[in-house]
Amino acid sequence: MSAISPLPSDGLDDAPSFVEAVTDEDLLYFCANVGDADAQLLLLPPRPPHATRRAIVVDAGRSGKIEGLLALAVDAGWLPTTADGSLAPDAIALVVATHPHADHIRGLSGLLASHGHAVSEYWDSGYFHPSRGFHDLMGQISGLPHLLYAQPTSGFRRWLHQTRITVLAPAIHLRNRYDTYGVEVNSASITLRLDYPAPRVLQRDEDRVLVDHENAVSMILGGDAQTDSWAHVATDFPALHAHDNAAAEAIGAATGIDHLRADVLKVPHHASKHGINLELMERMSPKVTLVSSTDRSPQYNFPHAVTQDILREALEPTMGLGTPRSADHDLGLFYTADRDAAGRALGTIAMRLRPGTRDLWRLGDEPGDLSFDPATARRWRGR
Amino acid sequence: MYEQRPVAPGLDRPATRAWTPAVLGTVSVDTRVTRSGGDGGPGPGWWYVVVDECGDERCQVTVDPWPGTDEQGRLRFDPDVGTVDVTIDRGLLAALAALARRRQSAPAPDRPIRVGDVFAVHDDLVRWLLDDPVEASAWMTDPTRPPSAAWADDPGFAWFARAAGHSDGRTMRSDARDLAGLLADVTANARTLAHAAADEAATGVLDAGDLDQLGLRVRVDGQRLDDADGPAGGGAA
Repeated sequence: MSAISPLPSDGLDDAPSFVEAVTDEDLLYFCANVGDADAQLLLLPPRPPHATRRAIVVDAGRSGKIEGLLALAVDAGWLPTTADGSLAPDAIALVVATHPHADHIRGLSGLLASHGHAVSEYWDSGYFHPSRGFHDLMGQISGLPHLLYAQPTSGFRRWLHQTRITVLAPAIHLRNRYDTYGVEVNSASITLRLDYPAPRVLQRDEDRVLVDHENAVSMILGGDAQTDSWAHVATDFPALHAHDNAAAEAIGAATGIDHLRADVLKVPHHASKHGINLELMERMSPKVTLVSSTDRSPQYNFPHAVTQDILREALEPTMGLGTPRSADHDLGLFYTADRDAAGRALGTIAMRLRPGTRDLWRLGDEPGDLSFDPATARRWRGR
Repeated sequence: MYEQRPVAPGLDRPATRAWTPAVLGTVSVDTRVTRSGGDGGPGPGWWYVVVDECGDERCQVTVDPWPGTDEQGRLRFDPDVGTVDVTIDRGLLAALAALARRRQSAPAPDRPIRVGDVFAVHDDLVRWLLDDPVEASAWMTDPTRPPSAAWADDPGFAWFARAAGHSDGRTMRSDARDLAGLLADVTANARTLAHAAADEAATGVLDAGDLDQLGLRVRVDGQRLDDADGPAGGGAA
């Protein structure tokens, strides 16, 4: 067992204001403190033709935490509103239900009930589930005719503002097996990769060039995907190692692309032992690794110690050397259940992301808190 | 603005009748409960239990009051009562499922518990399981273990002890079929409704006019819909 260690107070900065620190160039990402559940919010940077940000919601936990974060975003002036203060139509560009477990979707029907008019698009994995939460959610969608409903599979891409969203999973192979009842529901999870800014055309006088930003921000949001799902991801998104021979160059493989390498990883399935393996984690090689879980949940004992060791070993290989290992926070490994040295909840993780900048804040909420006071946010400045 | 589907009618209206999955027609449902349902289906005192997630030794089930269906046949839950999440021993859940499946006159496959399995469970059994799930699990592994005094008086335990005590793990004595129904596996019917809910969210629903206009030939439960009612119309090949 390895319990989550408190973050040292000398690494936390109380002084700066989170809201004031945000600039228009920042992609904002929130991994909400919802216990053994997932609720994530992204606020896309305002880019022409959109004068304001738009939101992406990826799961909503069991309760109204996302509504609290949306209220924070409205108060900060980050999202467009109507005259009565409600979210403007199209303010939420996309809602993703990764898979139909209660700890991911139960809060979504409430979100659609209160903000459905503002949501443009809804994705789920296509895995139907006989729970009440699923029926309630489908009922909400049925009442929103404007809502574009889609069931994407691996390889599907969507561009929103300057962010490119790639669906890594589920593989179509898995989706074709749903009706046989032969796919574990966690492995039906929608897993997403986000790149900001997306590769694009650069205009230079009368010429244009294709540019692929070397320092673009990349994220992988792992849902609850387990081995069956990741096995297909590894096949569908192979690592193209750099080779300098003529054949490799001719087929473009000499560039050494790995579609799974990412700056930020939301670890799948609350760091379940079935969620991720070492080689996959080594390929991703994230600079910031986030786990949404309690500290030793009574039901499943998340995060599993064996998975914590996998995460640590991938981030800092020591097992072959026998050398001491750094603390989790020094490896960039954070948990929504983190507490400070005084035992206070550090809560929801908020990140500002843009090329060359990546900083992490904690909003100070407990899992049951449904509203936020940005004045209590603390920045992790490391040690 | 493009609209993917017509807005579903009557979403604000409550259920009009208790949901009666077809499989319950093969089970000797407790007559007290049948009457309280008012229309032949399970009513107050029954719970809709879904296996939501399973770990190594435990499963999490969601427990809701028995749902109804509305005028469109959609499953509807009481908005005033929230879902309760319950963690239950996986072995105990598997044993209960096996009992439920065996005592149905059209037996469901005897297979491991899966996420997405759905059971109709009577109040008495739910209370008994929730009172002491750890003890219940221990008793399952050793049915000769004497029950506590509190258990012996519990109607849920009395039913379970009779059913399990007469079972060798593979077969059940015929008199077990006469026991009051406290548990039934309704997975097949529940999954059909969930599938329909997802399809409705994507495209809305067809009605008889659509079938006629499009000349669609459809099968329901393996039988051509127009076999009994005559041609659906259209005459398309």
